[in-house]
Amino acid sequence: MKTKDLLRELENMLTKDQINTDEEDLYDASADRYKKYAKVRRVLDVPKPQAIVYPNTAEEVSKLLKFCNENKINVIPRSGKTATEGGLENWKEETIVIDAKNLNKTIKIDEYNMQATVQAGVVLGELEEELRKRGYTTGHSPQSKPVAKMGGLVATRSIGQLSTLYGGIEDMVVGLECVFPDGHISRIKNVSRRAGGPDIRHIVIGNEGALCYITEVTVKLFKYFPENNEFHGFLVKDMDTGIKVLREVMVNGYRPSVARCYSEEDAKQHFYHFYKDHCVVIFMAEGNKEIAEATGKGIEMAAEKFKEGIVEKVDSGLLEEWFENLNWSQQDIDDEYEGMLENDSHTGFTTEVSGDWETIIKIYHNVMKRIKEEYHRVEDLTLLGGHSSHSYINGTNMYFVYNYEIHCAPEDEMRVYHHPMQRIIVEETLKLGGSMCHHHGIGKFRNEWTKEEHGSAYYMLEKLKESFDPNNIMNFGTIYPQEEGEKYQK
Amino acid sequence: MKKCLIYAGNENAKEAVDLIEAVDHLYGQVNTRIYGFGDPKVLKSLEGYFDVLIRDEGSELQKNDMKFDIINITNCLEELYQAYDFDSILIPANYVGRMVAPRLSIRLETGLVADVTAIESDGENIELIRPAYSGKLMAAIRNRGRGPLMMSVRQNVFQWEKLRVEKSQWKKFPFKNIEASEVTLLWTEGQEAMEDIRESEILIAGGGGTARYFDELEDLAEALQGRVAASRKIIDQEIAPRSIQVGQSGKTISPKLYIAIGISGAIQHIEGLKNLDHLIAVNKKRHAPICSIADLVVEGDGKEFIEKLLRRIHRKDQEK
Amino acid sequence: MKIICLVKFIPDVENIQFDKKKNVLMRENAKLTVNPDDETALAAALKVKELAPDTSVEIVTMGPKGVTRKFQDLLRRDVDKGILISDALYVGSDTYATSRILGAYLKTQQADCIFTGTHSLDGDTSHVPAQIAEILGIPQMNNVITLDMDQLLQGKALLQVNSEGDTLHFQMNLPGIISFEKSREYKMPYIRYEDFQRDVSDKIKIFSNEDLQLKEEEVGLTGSLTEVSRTFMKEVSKKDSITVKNDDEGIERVYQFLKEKGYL
Repeated sequence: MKTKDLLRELENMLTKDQINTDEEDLYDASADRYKKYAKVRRVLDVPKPQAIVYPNTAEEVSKLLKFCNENKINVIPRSGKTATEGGLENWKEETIVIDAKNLNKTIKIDEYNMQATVQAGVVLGELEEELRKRGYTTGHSPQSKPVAKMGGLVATRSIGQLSTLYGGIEDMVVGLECVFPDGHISRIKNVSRRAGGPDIRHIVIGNEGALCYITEVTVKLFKYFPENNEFHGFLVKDMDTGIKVLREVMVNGYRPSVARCYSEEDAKQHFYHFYKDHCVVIFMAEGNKEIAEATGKGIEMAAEKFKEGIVEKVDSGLLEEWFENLNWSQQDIDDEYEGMLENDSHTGFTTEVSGDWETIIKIYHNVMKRIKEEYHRVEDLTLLGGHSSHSYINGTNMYFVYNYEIHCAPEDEMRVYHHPMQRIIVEETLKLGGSMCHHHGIGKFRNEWTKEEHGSAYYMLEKLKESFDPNNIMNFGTIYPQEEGEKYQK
Repeated sequence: MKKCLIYAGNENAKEAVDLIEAVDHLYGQVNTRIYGFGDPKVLKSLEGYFDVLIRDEGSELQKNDMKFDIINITNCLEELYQAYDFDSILIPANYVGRMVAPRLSIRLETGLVADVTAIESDGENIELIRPAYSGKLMAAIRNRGRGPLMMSVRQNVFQWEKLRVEKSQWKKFPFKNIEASEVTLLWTEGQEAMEDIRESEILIAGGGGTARYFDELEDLAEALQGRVAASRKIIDQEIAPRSIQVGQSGKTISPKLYIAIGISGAIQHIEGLKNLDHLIAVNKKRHAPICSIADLVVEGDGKEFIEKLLRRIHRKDQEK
Repeated sequence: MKIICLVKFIPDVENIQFDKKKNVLMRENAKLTVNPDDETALAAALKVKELAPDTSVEIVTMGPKGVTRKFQDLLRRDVDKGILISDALYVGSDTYATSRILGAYLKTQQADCIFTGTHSLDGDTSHVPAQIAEILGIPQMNNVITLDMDQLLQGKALLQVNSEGDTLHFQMNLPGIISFEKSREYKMPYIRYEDFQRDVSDKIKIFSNEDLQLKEEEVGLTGSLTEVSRTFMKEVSKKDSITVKNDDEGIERVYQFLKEKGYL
């Protein structure tokens, strides 16, 4: 549909100030943090959306989706804009972005029943702040917390730094409300648990905007005891020891909120002041006093068991200091943009995977070996490392990080640097049966492997898409591979 | 007895006088006769330090602007060598010297060592020490040529203050080999105020903790003849412009002295510091990462630090 | 107009490792890069070519044949010809011998202008450009920041030079050697993805001593008039950081530190 006509139709559904056609905003909306360097250098290769709209209610979202569905217009659901895998990138000429900016009310904070209900456009950091005043927390603490909003956090099955205790978003969501392409509004009620057929929340949690639009979420509350936080850290000989220590803590039933193991190079970035060229293991025990103390003891016992692999203990004052400075802010993001303009280097690209205890360490070593041997730009890498940051009783994740100096045209940066790295990491992970995407979502840039990731179960994902979004208008290219979009991926 | 020629090429007489210490290191107790040649205005200030001061006879040199005429300077030095047969020739490693010395070494078919920082000599075996690989490595070099020992030396590496003779002998030399100049100086733009913090050798940087007294950093910078820089947190609060931001996404700097006040030292800031000689960290938190890489850590409030240090510095000046 | 650009490949000075036992730099595994000043010089030459496409830009380097891959990367940027001067006899040449070798090649060429860097990050003597100029009997200037390209194409070299903080403007006669210092003014163009593997071997010519015909005693270690008798690491005092407080004693310590190190 021509933009002129589109805008006229939109004006029938919304007021003028709910429609944004500013050129700069549209350029900004055409890609997310995945192509941050190309965006800053103004060499994006993708089309701009035609408009950004800000619905005020779920009914307005319903009208919009119905309209787009009938007219085959691509819809990009958006809230906090912190996506890192191309989930917000636009691959269609006819597209609108539906932004949750006006869906920003905190509807209810229910302290007795330990639940908080908010609309999709509420900033997690702001919700957290309000809760902490009352002595509570959501327990969800991704690095993007100060900026990310609830809709996106649920849509991407996000996870936070304290997940080892509180779980990922899927453990925190109680009920929610979402809208489907045919306009249908579904409200999943808030109950503590039920066996009412399959758990349909999981169609929505993690759909990455490819099936529906989330308008409201209810999450659990936890009591907040920051005064009981205990930090424990160790320098260890190698990643194998580090992973073993993490496993020991987990299988014995302890739930520290933070459980991490950094490889040497990765450790250097964060802990240059005490890592002494070793891998670093960090724990934080949190919760009410008795639990925090017991968890601390459990950590010490795990360390004791593997003491031949442990070089020394780290002063907890140092860890506390580090932890306080961990999160992003909008300023961090802006500053990063400025920095990329001035200097020709890329800070921090990542590919994060998961596996069971046995597999994850194999994946780590295979990836490191293969990159050092095969990667054609290994000379330009200024950092190559990995860290485990989310543990479970039956495994953990591995977050590979890499920085590089850019010695090529900005338009070529991704295909020269990140894509070949990502390919190696994904291939090695899938080979050993791990998952290629622990918490960032598939987005658009790992969709080439979606089928391999799910194997015979892909059938179930495919059917969901066929049923809920038969016209393929929801976030074209996300999760489900599309031949038409390949030109933007290579 | 050893004869040395020191070229006193630009307006800085001290640069030439200081090279006498280098000669001293070369020959130790052996008698030396030191000749000076160069800019006529400078020669006067060398009186009493040099044994012989050479000026041109025909004032040919004054006719052209000799200051940047590399080829003619080389011609003159060659003529002097042919007349006096020096054992060594020392040239200050300034802009002009760095172009003259290599040319002269080709003319005289002798080895040349640039940027000498130290000399090891027992009179016969002489080793000239210089840095290589951006200062990571020191090399000891010997001359294998049959010509004179030649070296260029940077300012302030050597020092000399003692007068050596009661009266220098002045000689007039008839230079014959002056050619038409191939290079003409059109105009000069003076020393620009060092706008860029990357140019400064001394930086006083303020972090988030200095927000309420950031202006006071300028006082300390002035006292130390340095410049003020800032970490990102200060820039974010719009207390200072982005042009003085140090860090991964700001500027990368290599000052000699970096005083970091109220800066925690996150890797993004540290990445902007390359090859600094000395770091003083002033911080209330001794666990701040930056303390681990500092030469000197002052545990305390930055404002108090600045005020007390300034008082100490000025007290010394008053005592003078 | 014919411009010849001299380029030196140096080991990665930032990250090079020192073998403490053998007392040598571990050069074998150090990655080679183009000396930054020289890269600026080549970028400037390519800029001239952009203005006047019939300009011919030739790069010349001296070194082991192992530099070929990096050399090819330079040629992929619209450089017309690449000369690699390589011979076992030349190994160990100091700046004097190196200048003789490069001078011998350049004497056979009719360049209107020779572009070079001013200093290299490894040797950092700045000898070679001036010495080559002496051998060829032409003028040369260091630390060039900008060059008036329109004037250059008309045969005049108008140079802006950085002399210890002052900016000086010179006119130099051509033919001459223009030695650049690293600057953001001239940046190398990018090689596009499609061009990464383009075959440029037909642009490369290798010159050995058979071509240059220099006497053995003029080159290599024998022909060097300086020799490195030994190398050593600079005494780096361990960072034993001292912690003081904001009291009189502490401030005095800071004051003395500043004085000792020459900042006051």
